[in-house]
Amino acid sequence: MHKTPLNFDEREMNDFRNICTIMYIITLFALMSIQLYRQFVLYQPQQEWNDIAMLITINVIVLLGAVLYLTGAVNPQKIRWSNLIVGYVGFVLLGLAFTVFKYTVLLGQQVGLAQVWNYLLTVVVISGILVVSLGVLAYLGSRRIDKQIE
Amino acid sequence: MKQPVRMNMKLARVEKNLTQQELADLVGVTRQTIGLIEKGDYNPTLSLCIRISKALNRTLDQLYWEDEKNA
Repeated sequence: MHKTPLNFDEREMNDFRNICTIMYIITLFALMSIQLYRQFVLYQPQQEWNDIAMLITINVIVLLGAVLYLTGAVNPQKIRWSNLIVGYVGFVLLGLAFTVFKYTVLLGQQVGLAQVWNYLLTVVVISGILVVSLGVLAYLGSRRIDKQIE
Repeated sequence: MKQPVRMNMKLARVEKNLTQQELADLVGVTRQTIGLIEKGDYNPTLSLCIRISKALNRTLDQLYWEDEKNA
């Protein structure tokens, strides 16, 4: 019989997991709110909120990676290239739009064409690395589950 | 989604003269879990269903299968 470290039975373990998930989401949104408040309302310098931003970023990337790898739910080989490209372009455009919005509206800075180009390059590279890394993890996760079934 | 009330399971338990607590001890869960399963408020895993079936000397069908007319 499966015993958990806290001696929960399966129903209690399910409830415990649900509560942890909800608390995790609340914590993540609270951290995001704190970071945005510090950055755009208090106008604190980057070193004041950088740790929170890093924490959120790493957390979300690891979460996505873990979900893709451990569930094996998404098989990249079955995703159509056209969908992947549209998704990637959308991701890049959204990232660029937010970056420009952040500097022009929220921080009130002048943004020239050269800077927009720089932002675009940064967003393209970072999004590319993310999509490829998550795609590899999804592929490995999918293979892992297939091997378990065999 | 709320599960149908597990009347078959409750009847089988009563026929074996087991309390919810005794059945819970036999299958390694809490009394509350057994109560919620019988009430239809908790959907047990297949593993727990099998343990309960064995403890009550019934098949899975006898305990959990819902006839269309009774569902």
